Amino acid sequence: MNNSFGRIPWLGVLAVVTMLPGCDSVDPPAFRMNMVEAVSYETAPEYQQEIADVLAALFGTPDEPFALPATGLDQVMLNRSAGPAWSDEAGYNYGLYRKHCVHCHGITGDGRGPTAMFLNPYPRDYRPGVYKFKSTYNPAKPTDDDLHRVLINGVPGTAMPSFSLLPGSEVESLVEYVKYLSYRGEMETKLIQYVFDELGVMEKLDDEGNEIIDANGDPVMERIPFDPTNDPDQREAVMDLLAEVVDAWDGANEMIIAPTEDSIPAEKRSPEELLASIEKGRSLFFDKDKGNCYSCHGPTGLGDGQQDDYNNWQKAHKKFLDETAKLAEKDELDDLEASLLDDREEVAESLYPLRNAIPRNLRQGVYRGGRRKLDIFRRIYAGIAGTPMPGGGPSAPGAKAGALTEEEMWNIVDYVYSLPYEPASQPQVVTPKYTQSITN
Amino acid sequence: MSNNPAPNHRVSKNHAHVWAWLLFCATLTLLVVGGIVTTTDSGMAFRDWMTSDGTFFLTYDWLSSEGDKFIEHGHRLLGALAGFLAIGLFVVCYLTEDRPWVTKFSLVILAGVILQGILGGARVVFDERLLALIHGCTGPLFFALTAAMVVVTSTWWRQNKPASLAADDAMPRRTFQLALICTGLTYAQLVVGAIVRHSPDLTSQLAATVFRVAVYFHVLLAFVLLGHVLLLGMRCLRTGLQRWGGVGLLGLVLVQLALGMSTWVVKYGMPMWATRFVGEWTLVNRKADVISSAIITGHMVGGSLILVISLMIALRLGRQLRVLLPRVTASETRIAEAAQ
Repeated sequence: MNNSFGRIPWLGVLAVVTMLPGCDSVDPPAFRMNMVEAVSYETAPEYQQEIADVLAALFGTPDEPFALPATGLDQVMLNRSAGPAWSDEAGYNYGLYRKHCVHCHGITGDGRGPTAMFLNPYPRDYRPGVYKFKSTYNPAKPTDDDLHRVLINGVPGTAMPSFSLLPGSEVESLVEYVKYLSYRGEMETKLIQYVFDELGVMEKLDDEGNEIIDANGDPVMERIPFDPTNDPDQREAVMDLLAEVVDAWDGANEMIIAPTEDSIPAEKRSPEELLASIEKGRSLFFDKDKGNCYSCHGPTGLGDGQQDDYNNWQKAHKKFLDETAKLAEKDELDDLEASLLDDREEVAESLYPLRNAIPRNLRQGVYRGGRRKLDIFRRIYAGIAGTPMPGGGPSAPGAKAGALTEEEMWNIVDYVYSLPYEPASQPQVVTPKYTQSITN
Repeated sequence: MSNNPAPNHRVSKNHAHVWAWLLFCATLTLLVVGGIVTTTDSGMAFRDWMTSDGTFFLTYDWLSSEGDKFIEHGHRLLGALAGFLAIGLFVVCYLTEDRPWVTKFSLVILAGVILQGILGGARVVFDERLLALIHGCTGPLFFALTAAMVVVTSTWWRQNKPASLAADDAMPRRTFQLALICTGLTYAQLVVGAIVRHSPDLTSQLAATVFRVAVYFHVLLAFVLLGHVLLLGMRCLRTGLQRWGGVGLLGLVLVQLALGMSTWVVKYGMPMWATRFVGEWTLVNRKADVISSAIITGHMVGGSLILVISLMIALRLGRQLRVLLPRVTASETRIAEAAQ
């Protein structure tokens, strides 16, 4: 026995097993800075650290989230969603975000979880606070019900699953945590912009407000720290920025698109009425001045119109990459530009490959934002936030009317609903004028 | 045949083999439930070990629990059952087995189940995903040990009934080598699969890179393994060597391929390249539903079954070829060999 199973290998195994726990838990999980924004605004490392500190003071950490009362977020729900996954003795589950979401959406909610690069589409980046599938006007935030609906229904045709088997309290806690990550992400961007606009290296002033001059006759420069704890003006500014973020979310319920009663088609329509509505919808679909749907979704509705556009998240990355490439092409770079280029290239390397926003194939009957007629109506009315899909209705309550009336939108809803059942071999009626604009 | 000695009493009542089978079946069940624990992420349903919510785990009211606690505690109880069966196997081997190396092997199995239990416990106590990953890698290894025990305690093995294959015959030897390669490749694939399964839940910044590399390796190894296993299965069928194993392997590897692709779809949706051919599906994955859990867990168990079948084929062929395996020391078997 002793010959076969010497002690040394076993001790080695024991040592490895003992040491391994440390590999993944040396540092507790931390939120990651939005480096695209930070580098775009040329945020110095010292300011990056100070912004991270302020954000930690406002929102806590992934293991110990914190929400100021001003945010209106429910701390108990945040506690249920944050931290590592575990269950208490009563069977309540904690660490819900880590358990169900983090592998795709990432610990910061930046849509860069470990699996993200393989997914189509990329998981949502919560930080800009822009959500595609909602009941509100295009620029408005989603309501809690909207986020809840996406969690319950999932997003068909994507990696986003339905969480309908989870207890209701868990889904509500996840909704709260998603909002929390958006609040934090929006605040991060606002703080980066604030630091860029208001702070930086400036001439040092004496007590009387005069510039201090050094021995060479040059003004003495100093970096103004971002320290809201000790600077009441900065504190007030930060709280104002937070209020802006919170107000937009709080106002979401007043921005819900509710179709007018008169425009809603009757529940029981005769086949002739339905066909007439579909025909109207078809003509609007191909009408360049009204629906103009064909230009993206294609003359056949197969989603084969324009293919080159990007959604807003990808546009931001494209802009960053283009600016980086432009900087790299410069013949001579000073020290500051060279340093900036290094930073930009480091961030550019970490970005996922750009993907175009491919219009939906309407013949498959897969509607990512929900397949109720009301869902399709709202997509047509408000468009899809953050994507090239424009809205046919006004952009806010009381704003200028859009290209389509509500009745026309319902006609298009009927046409869209009929498309999966229309033989694909039956070519659509496209006038030469429209065909020409496609090829152009 | 008339020169053969009368069947040995201890051989005809092969208690060790029965215990080995019991342990094998218990371990397979343990593996299935362990897979469900990972699929449903129930590993931290209790934050303590060896107690469950402060109650000694053997006296915990399991049948009154539900959800994650039911799954995780079921895994713990099955682990305990495997432990008791491993103790029983060792005792039976100690009392009845006349091949010392088999008794030592049963001790290795006992040590294995204890270590595996400690590893699982440490995963809970430290709340450490990396330990869960290692626990997931060592599970199939332990399963393979129990499968090996089933083979070496079998009457077939002990009585050396099957005619020895000529060691210089190239085909059995190549098949044997192929089975060994398949066993090694399958285990490597299981390890990479465990990394694919667990790395997305790691919070380290490296998790994305680890996952990405593991996915590519998993796909690459899948093709390599598919070729090897198909070759092994067909060779088993063509030569008549370990025909049952060949049939099992061919069936399993095809099911495993389908399960692997389905696992990706139910976890991460249709890959972008695939949507070009099949379009988008109306399918919405539902987190923690039975079908998804069965597919994902089935893929993990399928890999383990391919591992043990490859190993069993390798062991049995090795036995017939008399290579790389301990010489049989039972006196009656030596007499039987001398008589041939």
